[in-house]
Amino acid sequence: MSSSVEAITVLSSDGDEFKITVSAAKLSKPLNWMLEDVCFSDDCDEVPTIEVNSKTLVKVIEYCEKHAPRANSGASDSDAEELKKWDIEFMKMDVKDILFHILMAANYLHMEGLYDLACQTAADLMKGMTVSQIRKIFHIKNDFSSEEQEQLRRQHPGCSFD
Amino acid sequence: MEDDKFFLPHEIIFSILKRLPVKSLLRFRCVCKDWNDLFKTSLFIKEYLHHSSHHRGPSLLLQWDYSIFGMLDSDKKTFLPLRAPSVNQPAYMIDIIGSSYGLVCLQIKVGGSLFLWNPATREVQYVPRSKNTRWYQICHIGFGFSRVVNDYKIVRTYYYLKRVEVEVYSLSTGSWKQLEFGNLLEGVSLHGRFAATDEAIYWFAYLNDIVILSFDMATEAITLIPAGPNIHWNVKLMAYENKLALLSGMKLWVMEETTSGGFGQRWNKTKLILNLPSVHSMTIWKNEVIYKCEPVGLYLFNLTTNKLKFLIPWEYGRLMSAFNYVESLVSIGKKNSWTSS
Repeated sequence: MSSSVEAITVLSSDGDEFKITVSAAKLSKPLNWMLEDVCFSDDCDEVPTIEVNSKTLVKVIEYCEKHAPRANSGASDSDAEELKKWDIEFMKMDVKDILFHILMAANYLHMEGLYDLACQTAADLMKGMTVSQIRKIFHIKNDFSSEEQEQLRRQHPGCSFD
Repeated sequence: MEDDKFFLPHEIIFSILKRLPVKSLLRFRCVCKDWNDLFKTSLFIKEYLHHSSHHRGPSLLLQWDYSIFGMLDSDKKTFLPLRAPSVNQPAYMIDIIGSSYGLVCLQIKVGGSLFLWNPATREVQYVPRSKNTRWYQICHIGFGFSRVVNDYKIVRTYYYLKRVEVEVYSLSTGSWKQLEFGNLLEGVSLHGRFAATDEAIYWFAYLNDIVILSFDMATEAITLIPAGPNIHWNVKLMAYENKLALLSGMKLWVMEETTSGGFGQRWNKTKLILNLPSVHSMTIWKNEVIYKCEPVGLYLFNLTTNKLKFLIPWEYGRLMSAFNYVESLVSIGKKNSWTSS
């Protein structure tokens, strides 16, 4: 690709166009490979599609743009501290509505930092949930028979199936 | 909305679950059969331990005045009193020997019975005595986990006919083994508490001069290392960044591998808190030295920034010991639950 390109255009799975700067796109391995392989110059009219919906892609790009400067050059401790605070604010989102989609996207785009952050956020949210709340967000059915439930209760007094 | 049919792949759920505290996982085994089974697999137990020891970082396990146990979270914010292990003995009879990769080794003060304890799952198991009739001999006990052989080991050294004898308990076999060192340990005496890295455990020893006895946790070989200059009996053995370190007041020497047993001085800071009354170093926690100052509280000295910070006030009486601790699901009773695969 030509070195003059500073931002590339990608399509979401919904077909919307998004701009992402080259340095931010480098946070994702597959996007980085694309940058090396595909022609992104102005006379190339092929726009790559990323299999992530628009709502999620907006957030992923926001994360990339924020983290790119630090990833590309070592940052001071105060920057790292600032970024940590930003991450916490950034992750204040609904679990089912968007956090799970971000997890899928980070996994698909091989973004280790975002994946770790999203996993930890999900874990922190789950900590205080009841068993039935967990089943609901993960669409899991309680498949213990009443005998098995009884057995678990005997082995672990106080355990709750609700 | 499409979310109603949105399922996360198994590997992502796995990644989230290994970041939960053990307490939550124990509750969530009631979610479904798959999860209940998953938490018992050696793969999940291993991955969980790896994450909690290498990413989350250690908590601090504290024991006060023989009877109160507590845990300070790795974020240094949450302090929780901990239920004493149920060993059919009053809590003041329990000594913590060591803590390694999720398991804690305990000893009863009178009689010397040993127990292994997983504070997260609250599982406690009695360690059977060796068939050795010299059990009541004065002994030094060490405990650690070898990543090379993937096994927890208790090392017991005692004096017999003017030499040090060594026997080792392995959790994977559930039995003791007497080791043979010929004349190597003749005339040697051991001193103080041990320090453990991932590879070895160490004691101060005396053989004409002060030396360090190193016991390789994987090969079970013993080496006597010269302790280097500036050594006196007030120096404490510690582990720092998985290396053996010597801490004396406000000086820290870290053993560098390249110098084959020599100690290169890495850090030297004086006159920082020496004006406080009765200050004692307890352990090194991540990159900070824990100091206790009676009766004020616990202080942290940061080895990177050279700054001293107050940690927690003195609430529970005398602090007896402090250990690095990471949470795990490792089961002591079920043999091989963590060694296979």
